[in-house]
Amino acid sequence: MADEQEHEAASRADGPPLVEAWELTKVFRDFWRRPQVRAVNGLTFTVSRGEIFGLLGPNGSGKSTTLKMVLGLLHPTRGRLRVLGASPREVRTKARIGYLPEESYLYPYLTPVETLDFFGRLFDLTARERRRRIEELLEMIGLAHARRRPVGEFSKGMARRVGLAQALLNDPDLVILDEPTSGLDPIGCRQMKDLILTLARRGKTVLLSSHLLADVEDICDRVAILYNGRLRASGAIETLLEERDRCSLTLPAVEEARLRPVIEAARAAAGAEPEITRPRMGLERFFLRVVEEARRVEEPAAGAEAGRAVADYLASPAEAQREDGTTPEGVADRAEVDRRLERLVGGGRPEDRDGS
Amino acid sequence: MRRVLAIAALTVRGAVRSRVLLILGLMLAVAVVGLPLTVRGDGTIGGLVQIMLRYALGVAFVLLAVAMVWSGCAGIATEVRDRQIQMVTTKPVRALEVWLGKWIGLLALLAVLLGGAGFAVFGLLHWTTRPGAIEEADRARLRDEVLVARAEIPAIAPEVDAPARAEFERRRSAGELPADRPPEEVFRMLRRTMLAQAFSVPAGGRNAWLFRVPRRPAPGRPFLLQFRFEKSVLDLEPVRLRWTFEAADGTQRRETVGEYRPRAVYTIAVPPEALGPDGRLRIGCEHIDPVPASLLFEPGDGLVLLQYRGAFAGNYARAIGVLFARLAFLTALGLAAGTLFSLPVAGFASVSGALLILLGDYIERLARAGVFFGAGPDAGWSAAVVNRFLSAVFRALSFAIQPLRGPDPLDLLATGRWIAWGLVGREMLIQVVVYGGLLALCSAAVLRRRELGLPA
Repeated sequence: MADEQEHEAASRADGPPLVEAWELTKVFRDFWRRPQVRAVNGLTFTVSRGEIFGLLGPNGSGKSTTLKMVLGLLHPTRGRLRVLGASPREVRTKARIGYLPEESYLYPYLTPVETLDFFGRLFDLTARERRRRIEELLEMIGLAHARRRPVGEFSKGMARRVGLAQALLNDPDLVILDEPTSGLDPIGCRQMKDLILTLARRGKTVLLSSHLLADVEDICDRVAILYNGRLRASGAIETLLEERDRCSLTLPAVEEARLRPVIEAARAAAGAEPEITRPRMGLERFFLRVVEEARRVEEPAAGAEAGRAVADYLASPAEAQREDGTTPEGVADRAEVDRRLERLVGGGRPEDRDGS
Repeated sequence: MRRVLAIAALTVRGAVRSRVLLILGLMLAVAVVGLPLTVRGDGTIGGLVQIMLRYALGVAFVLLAVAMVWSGCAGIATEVRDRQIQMVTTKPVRALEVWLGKWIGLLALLAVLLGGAGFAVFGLLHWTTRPGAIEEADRARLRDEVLVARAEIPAIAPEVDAPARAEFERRRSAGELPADRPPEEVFRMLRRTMLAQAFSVPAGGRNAWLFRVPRRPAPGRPFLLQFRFEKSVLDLEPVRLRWTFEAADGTQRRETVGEYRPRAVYTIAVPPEALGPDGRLRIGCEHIDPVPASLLFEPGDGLVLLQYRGAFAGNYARAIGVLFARLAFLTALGLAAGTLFSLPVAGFASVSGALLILLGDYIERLARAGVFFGAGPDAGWSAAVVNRFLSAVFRALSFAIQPLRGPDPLDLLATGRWIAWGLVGREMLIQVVVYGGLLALCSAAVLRRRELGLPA
């Protein structure tokens, strides 16, 4: 499985890396230029095309500082940084980047439509294209019903969804997400994670930071673990987490008496007492199931609605397939797309990895 | 351009939705409508109209100047503080586009507010001077003196540089220059004295000045001589004078005699037929009063011809144009300060900059004087070094500030003086294009290099 994951990540990583950082160091100085904090210290990493790369670490470990350097919002004190083959401060580079900051720094007096229209203009999208994308994004983030309310009246989670929509407005090649699930409810978290996986499947590269280990584990191909500005560990998730001295065998539920021969065989093979447990589905999955059942019988809540999986202009051809099973002109049918995807990723698809 | 306009539209929308525009509009309405109702003039309708023009529009200008400087400071400084700038600068937008977008947005607001104030004052003026509200004679006088655009033609300045230089050289060779004054200051005093003599009329004597009138007076339109003089005897008793008007070659002579008090401003009609075919007019003043006192007309504006050039409405619009250009510069100054500093610091910095411009005359005088700590042979070398350094600083400041200074359009408007299109164009060029452009380029360079993602 670990090999498959490595292979998957490697197979996606065709072409030069989208982000290359060598010995990246950031020292924050005071007014008199005296060094105060070394937020990032000699960090080297690359992010390859099509992968989901996570920067993981506790608060103050340098994750956001690193992302801001990648975005050109901070300038490295030392080291080199190339983003999409150019300096992060290059204006044309920014046309290919989508950014969701840790907090949604939106204009409180604008409605979601006005917010997205404004950012669409900054991306130089035509009026028609802006209208189309805004509609699709509002559907996607589940805020179509709140399109005329000022963002300043939104809850943190709703504002965050608008922030996400603006990050995807330009159909970016590189999506940078700073604490993407921060402020979202469990449903929003799940949708965010599904969206990130979909974006990766669409060929987007995602660079995210988080201190929520479960989120990173669910979606990232590779991670870099930072502590106190230094890189402490990095690699593919499965490689890092794999316990090579243990293995597990999952069976459908059967009576313990019928398992006895299997246990005996396992004891003989391993030379140790095997452990028998019942798999747990995880609280997130359980919660989502409960909410889904509740939704079937009740009105939706006042906040964000469950959005569509992904906006059409962001969706892969497989997701662009119509509900009646037909596909838009020029788009292969779902089975064919799946086959292509299998070939492309060399085995298991990203969504297969979450164990659901 | 789409990006610049998007940021401009956002700026306007922000001002509208945060009710800044509404509050400012209300304040302006109170100022331009309320002030003429509360301030008492000299009791004449002319005085009231001058208050409307000078004070109501003046207060509107000051209010807008403060509002625009502050809005400029806040335009970028608050976005940096609230981190919204991070959302903008991570898009494919140049720093210059961000800055220009903010500026254009604020200028659009300024245009609405200043235009509104201008229309309000203009409407109020018409309502106050409507037929039936004041006597017809007052209306006629207003039309001739205030609600009109008259060009101001000064006398051709006599050549005083060469005689002043000759006198200066004579005194230097004779060792008569004062030791405690720099030589250049002595020369300037000599020159000033000679110029004053050229505009004085001795007791029982006569003086004449030549005027070049660029266009012939329109029939039926007033063609006036406006003058004001000081008397060498400190009293306000009237003086009897004979004014003569003739062509440069002495033909077509006309004259008028009258009694005039010192320090009062008089306008007397000039017979248009006295103007020579070459457009030159010689005006003489003969002191025919037995009082032994010399008269001194201030060189420059103590003796001017006033010629009708156009209607008041056009002049009014041009005055608003000049005000707009100056406010546009102040807005740019605030934005530039807001790009460099956080909000309160930016406010202080831009207000300091505006004050420096207001003190332009004083700074120019300091730059010209060149002496701050002692002078002459007794002054030590340290005083000389400090003087030289301060002089360089004030010269540089004066060089930077002087182009921003110009005639007060409200003063011109309230005295019925013609505001030339050239002045409007000059103000737009200097204040908006040159200085606004320089501030834009400098601010964009700063914004491009500034780390906008620094922790709070």
